[in-house]
Amino acid sequence: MNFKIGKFQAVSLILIVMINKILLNLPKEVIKQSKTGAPITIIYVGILSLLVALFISFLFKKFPNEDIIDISKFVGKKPLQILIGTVFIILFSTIIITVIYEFTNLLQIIYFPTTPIYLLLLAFFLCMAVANHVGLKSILKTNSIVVMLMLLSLIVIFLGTINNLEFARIHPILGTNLSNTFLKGTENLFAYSALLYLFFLAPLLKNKKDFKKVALISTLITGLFLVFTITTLLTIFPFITHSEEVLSMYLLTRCIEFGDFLQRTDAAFILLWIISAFSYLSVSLNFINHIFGKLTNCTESNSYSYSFLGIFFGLLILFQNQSLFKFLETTFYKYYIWGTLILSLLILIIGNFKRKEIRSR
Amino acid sequence: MKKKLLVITCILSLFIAFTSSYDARETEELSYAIAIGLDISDSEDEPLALTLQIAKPDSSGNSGTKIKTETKTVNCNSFSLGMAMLNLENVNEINLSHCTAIIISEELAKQGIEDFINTLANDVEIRPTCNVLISQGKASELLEKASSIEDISAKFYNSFINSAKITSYVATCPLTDFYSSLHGDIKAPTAIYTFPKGDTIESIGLAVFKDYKMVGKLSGLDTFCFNLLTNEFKESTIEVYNPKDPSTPLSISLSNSKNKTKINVTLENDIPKITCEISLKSSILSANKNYDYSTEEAKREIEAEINKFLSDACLDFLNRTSKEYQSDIVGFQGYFNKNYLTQDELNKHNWNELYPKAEFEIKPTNYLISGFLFSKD
Amino acid sequence: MSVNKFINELLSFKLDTSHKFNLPNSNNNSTPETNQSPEILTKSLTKNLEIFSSLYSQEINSDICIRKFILNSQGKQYNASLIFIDGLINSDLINHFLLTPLMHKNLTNCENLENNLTTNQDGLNCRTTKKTNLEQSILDSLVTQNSLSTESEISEILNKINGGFTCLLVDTLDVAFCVEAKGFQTRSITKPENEIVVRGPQEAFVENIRVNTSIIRRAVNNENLVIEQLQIGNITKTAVAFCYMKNIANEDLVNEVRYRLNNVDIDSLLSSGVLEQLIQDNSHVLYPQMFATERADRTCNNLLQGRVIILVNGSPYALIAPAVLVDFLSSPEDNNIQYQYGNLARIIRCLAFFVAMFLPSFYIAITNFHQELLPTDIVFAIASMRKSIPFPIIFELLIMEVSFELIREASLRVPSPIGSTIGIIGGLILGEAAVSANLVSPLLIIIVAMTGICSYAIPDFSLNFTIRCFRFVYLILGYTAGFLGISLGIFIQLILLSNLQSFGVSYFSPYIPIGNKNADLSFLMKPAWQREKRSSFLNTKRPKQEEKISMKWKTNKGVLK
Repeated sequence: MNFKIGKFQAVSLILIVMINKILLNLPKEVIKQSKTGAPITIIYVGILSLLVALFISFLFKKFPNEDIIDISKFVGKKPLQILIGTVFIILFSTIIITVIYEFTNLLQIIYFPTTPIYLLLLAFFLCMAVANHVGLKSILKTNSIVVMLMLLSLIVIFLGTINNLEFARIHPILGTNLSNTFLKGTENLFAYSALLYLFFLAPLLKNKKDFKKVALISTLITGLFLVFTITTLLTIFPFITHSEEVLSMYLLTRCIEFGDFLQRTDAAFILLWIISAFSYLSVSLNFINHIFGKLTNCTESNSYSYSFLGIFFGLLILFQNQSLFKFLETTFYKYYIWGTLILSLLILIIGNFKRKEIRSR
Repeated sequence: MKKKLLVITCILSLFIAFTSSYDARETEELSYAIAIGLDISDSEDEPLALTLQIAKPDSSGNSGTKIKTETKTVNCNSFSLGMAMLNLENVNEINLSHCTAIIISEELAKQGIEDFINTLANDVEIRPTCNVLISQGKASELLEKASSIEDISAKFYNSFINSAKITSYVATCPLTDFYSSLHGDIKAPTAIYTFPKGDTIESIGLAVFKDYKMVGKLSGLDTFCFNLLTNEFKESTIEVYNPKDPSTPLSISLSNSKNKTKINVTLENDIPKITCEISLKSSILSANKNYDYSTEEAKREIEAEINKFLSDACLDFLNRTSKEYQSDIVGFQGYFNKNYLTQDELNKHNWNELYPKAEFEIKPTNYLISGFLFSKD
Repeated sequence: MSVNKFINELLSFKLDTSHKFNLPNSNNNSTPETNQSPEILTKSLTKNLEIFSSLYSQEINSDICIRKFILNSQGKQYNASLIFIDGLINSDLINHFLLTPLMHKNLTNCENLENNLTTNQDGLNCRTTKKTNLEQSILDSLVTQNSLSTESEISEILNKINGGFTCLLVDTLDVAFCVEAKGFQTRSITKPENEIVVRGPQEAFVENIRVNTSIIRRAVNNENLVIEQLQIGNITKTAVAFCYMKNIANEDLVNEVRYRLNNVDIDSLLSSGVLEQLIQDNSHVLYPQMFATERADRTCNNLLQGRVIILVNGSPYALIAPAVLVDFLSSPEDNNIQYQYGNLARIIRCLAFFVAMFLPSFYIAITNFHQELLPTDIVFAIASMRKSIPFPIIFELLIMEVSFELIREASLRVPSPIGSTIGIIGGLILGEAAVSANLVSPLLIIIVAMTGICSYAIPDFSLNFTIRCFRFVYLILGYTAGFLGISLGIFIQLILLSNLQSFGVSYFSPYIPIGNKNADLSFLMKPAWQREKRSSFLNTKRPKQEEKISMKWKTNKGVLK
């Protein structure tokens, strides 16, 4: 990547992940796990993830111009690099597939009940292809606009539903019991999965000193919005702890009312969400391309993406199976993120030691 | 050049493939139902009678906001089937996205609404803010009465509920709330109670549900208390005993003060003790001859009368819900939950069993302000 | 008899006498370049004249004049001639100040001995005799003109003559004297016609590049203003000037402009619009990447911001580079009025931008896919209005939009005396009649009219076109897939716009990437006393344009006494 981005774009890169996770039922997963204790859990996990973010930025101090793929090569030569690359490619691929699936599914249920699914898919793939053709630099620029709009829309959603809040519903505040909220709740760290993008941020930053700031700011904003959404969802829809719905945030937008005139504004939000999904997908696809390029020692081409797009399209056409995607989105994603996070942290730590050793020699 | 061709064909094929033949519906191709009515049908095979009040767009062009409506009824097994049958009957496809009321007959509500309420709440088109109403007689009759009103507005149901809210004898019951209350919430569901009156329809009071069944109804005064306790109260007019002139009662206007109603629930010997502190602003509306209400003494006296009225009414209302209906519509469970930090502790108690045993205490306060142009007639 | 004649006429052979002309398709008639004429002048006047008269095809070219006369210099007589183009020169100037001194035997023309008397060191009067140098004496004493140069290359001389110079050729000399005695009819400086403001100077550029540079020079009034000039066009050799402030504009930007201008290889350049297309970054994106203005004050404002101005001879529009999106939404008026008024106007323009681009597409997307979004009353109103209309909404919209574009185009082209009829016909047919004939619904008229008004509120002509094009794209997208289609369009457009650069400046500057928004070029203006910095995306040599406290009279600190 032969360009640099500023603080703002870096933060919005992390935030777009968070926003899409919020849209895609992540808050509901947390609520399901910790019941009424979810707000507390998410604050607690937020503090944990702040620490992790700080730790990552500390570890990256010694590698200001390298991302996790380069470091893995430094630590364990080519085999480790290929391993880590594949791990991340699989991660981003599942992200892309589930995001597209969820959105097309939602669109089909709400607006296009009789349109064949491949047409809806085509719209997403067309966008990704165009974005990929133009390149990551423009995607990140666009992304920062989209993120601003999305944060604004989320705030509008909170304001619009403020009348429906019933705070009595968040009691008992600590959830099922202490161990579930705090010990088992640590699992919810996957809610801050945007942290994983930090591993790729270092070489992109214009000013290397910003790394820590970016990590902190983005984690804070993520935490704030997660707390807000989870509280809002919990206090408006008590049934959310045991129901299965398309997108919980969509239910929220349906409740928004601004006077008698503006009701049922959900379509306007859907419009914005689709744009944000496009942005998120394009970013992820470009990361896949970038990693694949590094593994094959050819970083300047963005034509791998088209083959990846082909594969994803085929997979999505073949497997229109709701339970599979539920599994991918919840169980698989949760543990895979844990695995990836620990693996990457390990590699970073070893890398730090190795560098120290080389220096001392 | 090849690349450009590829892109163009790609985009074109997308356009052609998407063409609105799939899901686009022009506005005039749709019929909009503004209310849904549900009854028990006469036939045994098809237990449900579904009635829709459908707006008939007026082609004269200068219709303004007034519309004409008609009702259609079918007997069916379930709501979705009924919709399909009505679509067969109707020229245009029926769209529910502008439906503002779901009317269920009292008879059906007492039998149980389990079969269709989940379908309704799950429907993509129906607004979550659409009100749930219980009609005294048949829902279809109520809808027919409503559509016989000349030129009703599209917002008919919303506006007549909103105007009723001014008296505080009605509380809004949106579908989401109704649905939430049915699914493990801190309060029991309620619905607006409606009946035909004269040429039009009127709503006063609430229908009380326990789980999926209607168990009773609340009068206007009860609903007034319900609004007070759920902090939905805006303003209302009551009549209290006039200490100076017992023959003519005193009209008092009540409005909400900034202080919200404070509710505290504690458990003593397995009996929940519920205290409610209500605070209101009040003003005298009717002036009696030759009596000055502006004195400190008179003020105190009248305030005491109002407090007495409030506490009597609320106790009556609360006892009815707990003892007679055994349904916690105010949501005391939420206040009860506050006392426990974790679900495990809470699980030792079963609120549904505790609530009928509850003891209530009402602590009303009110601040009388002058409502006169003249202080003495 | 007549039958016989008829048959004769029908069947007899007749010679086709009507005139027919077909331009040959093959290129074989192109004459080979006969450019074997010498490149420099010879000493023989007759030869030189032959060269010029053949180059100019003087025999058939009506406005080429060659005036032969006898030149008197230092008592000697030489054959000489003037070459000029009639209509480009001022005959009075040539008669009085060129021919008169050259032909007359006046004092300076003679060898006046008295003039050469000088006193040497020893106090003796002695005579210094100059070697007779004809060229020098013509330069020194014969031609009474301020702008005079000598040229010997024929191509240069041709350029000068084409530019309105008068060329003096003298026998025995292998140089030509090019005298500036231009005198052609030009438009005088008038009020701007297409960018009207209430407050602010009322001076617009004209076709003549010298006049335009003089306007800029007068307004800027500083020695750091550099006006570099070059020629573009192999045939027309149009003068193109680019101006910048030496001490403000970024060096790289100036170099880039110079590089691009110097590397335009075309035959002719007749307007700045063509040049804009030739030097802009990306010609496939529909957005304008340089803005053209006829207003001198706006040009100077941008010049002082650190931008580069490009002037083309023959075009009354200056090109300003680089330009970013917010520039196209600002009007020269904004700077001249209170910043609050300016900001209000800008917000309204921004609104107009979105309404003009998206209103029809949102209308069709909402009425076809998302009916629940509209308030119930409006849905019923639309449904009842459309009850008697035979067309689907898309067709209705397309009819109206296309006819609106037709009216706009027609009223632009129509001669002004009948211009008002177009408006009447358009208003009558499209407004009243179409509705009463049940071809379109009244609401749609409102939508189209709203869109039209909003597109006129956009101050920039090119951006207006952008919006018109994209409106149709979004219309189709909204029709095919509702909000999904529109969001697809918005995303792709955002991506393409993010990729767009105007002379190395991101099109979304100063917002993306975040720059300094203090400057008066961001979308919302700061008060005049707070515009301390120039836009950071221009990366100027003088980032500060105002002192931190510009209103010194208010603070009493450091007041200039």
